[in-house]
Amino acid sequence: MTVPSSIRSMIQQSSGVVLILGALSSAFFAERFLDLERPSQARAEALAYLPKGEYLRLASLGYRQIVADIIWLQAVQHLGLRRDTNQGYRWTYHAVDVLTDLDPKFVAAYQSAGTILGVWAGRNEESVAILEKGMRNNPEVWQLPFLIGYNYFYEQCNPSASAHYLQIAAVLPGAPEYLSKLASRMTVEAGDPQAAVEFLERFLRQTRDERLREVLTDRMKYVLQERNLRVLERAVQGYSATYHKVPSKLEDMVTARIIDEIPLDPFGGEYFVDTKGEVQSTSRRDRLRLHQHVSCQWRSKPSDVAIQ
Amino acid sequence: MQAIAVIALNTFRENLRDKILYNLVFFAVLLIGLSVLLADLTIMEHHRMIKDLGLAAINLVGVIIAIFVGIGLVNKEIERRTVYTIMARPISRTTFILGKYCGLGLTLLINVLVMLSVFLAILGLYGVPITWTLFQAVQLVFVEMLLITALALLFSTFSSSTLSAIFTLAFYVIGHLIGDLKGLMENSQTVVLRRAVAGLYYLCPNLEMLNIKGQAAIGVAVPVTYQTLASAYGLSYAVASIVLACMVFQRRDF
Repeated sequence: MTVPSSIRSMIQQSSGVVLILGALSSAFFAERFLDLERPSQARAEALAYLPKGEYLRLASLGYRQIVADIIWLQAVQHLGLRRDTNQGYRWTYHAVDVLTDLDPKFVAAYQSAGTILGVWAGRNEESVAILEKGMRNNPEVWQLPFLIGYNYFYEQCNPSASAHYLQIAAVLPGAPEYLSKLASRMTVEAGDPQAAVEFLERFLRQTRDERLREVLTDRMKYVLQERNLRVLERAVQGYSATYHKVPSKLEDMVTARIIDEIPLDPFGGEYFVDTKGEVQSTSRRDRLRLHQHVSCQWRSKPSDVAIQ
Repeated sequence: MQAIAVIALNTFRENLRDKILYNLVFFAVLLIGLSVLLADLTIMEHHRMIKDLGLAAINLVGVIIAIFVGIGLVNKEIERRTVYTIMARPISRTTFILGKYCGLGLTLLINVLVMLSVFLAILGLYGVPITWTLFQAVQLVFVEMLLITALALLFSTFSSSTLSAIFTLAFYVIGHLIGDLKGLMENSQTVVLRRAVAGLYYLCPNLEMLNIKGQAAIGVAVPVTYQTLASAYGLSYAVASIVLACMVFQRRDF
């Protein structure tokens, strides 16, 4: 029995369509599995294997800026994810180093990578290195030395280095007036939480990234709490010197006019004085670690100090 | 002169018939689509990225047209044997070459102007400040296109389309590498190699001289002296290539 030619051609066409659909769906599923095999961490790590900037510069044939933009877009997608360990940021320095070799005027890349490497990843040497490279290529941008100043003061507890960079930033065009004052405070009042509060306030004012603002706001609360605890402890010492006893409650010091009022706890807790005369908060923050970090007493190495 | 204009206009019409202007739709979709995408993906520097993208797209689309249409300018006429009917008329071969070149030049000019308008419209849409340097960059991109067209035309007078495309692409690549290569070779211990690269440097046009896209994207002004000199530099190579193309075409037998 012979099959009519119209039916034969229909069968041929349908089997063609089935084959195409089969091939496309197997490609789709293979891609899904490959994506699962390569988590975002691995994709970010791939940026660590970018060729050196000097070679990529040659290969990009006059389209350097757009190649830099593409690397930046890839980097930004991974930078936004907060990693658990600083190992999660191993690729960041290399990727940004390469893209700024291609486009040395990419100020935003220096700023973001410098900030994230320092604030989130604790990779301070890399943070300072990328920001210094930015400074060499863009000596007119005040934000770059400002960020190095931040890193030295806040992350590395090195107020003199911080002051040096803030002074550089202060004389650049467009730099806010407070910078020179802040630079001098860095050296004179190092260790004072008030200096840290001021610094964080300034930093917050010029930060637009919401997630970074969240981290900085949280840190500012720690510093404010620390400052309040110190003020109250000094007041307790004054009270004890006058009345030869520890106040039973903090309000006693307001009554005795040693302080005007009891400051509010930024975490919503309440301050109280214990029998030894130490002031604490019901919000129960880990004060010792915090104290070392935010007020930079420089008794321990910065690496010993955890971020939060 | 009139003959050149007639051939140029005909070449332009032929380009239109070949649907070359369709690339503008591709350009517009690419630019608008990616600009919207960029706004979503990047943090900071969104404006600068739109500028980078627009300038790179204008450059890339223009260079692709210059190479792939340029190589067909003379070759297609020879392959289709339409060149015989033209040569039978009282038109010199030089006029023919110049007319062909001006025709593609006109196509490229209109392309660039339309792409620039789309680009400026997108910049306006996103509120990106439009700086004078952007126009300077596009002008130098146009000079690069004219130079590439001249090279493509030269190669197409004596070789097949495929070979002309390979030669022109090679010159394009070398043109962008030669500056860096010369810089790298200056540290070389081998004198012969150093001199060879220096010789190549002056023989090949250094296309990086015409690339100010980076400055344009961040709005750094480029001195008019530089722009004039760079244009003169590019156009000198273009003139040399066209003269050579005319000389080669004169000697060809049909």
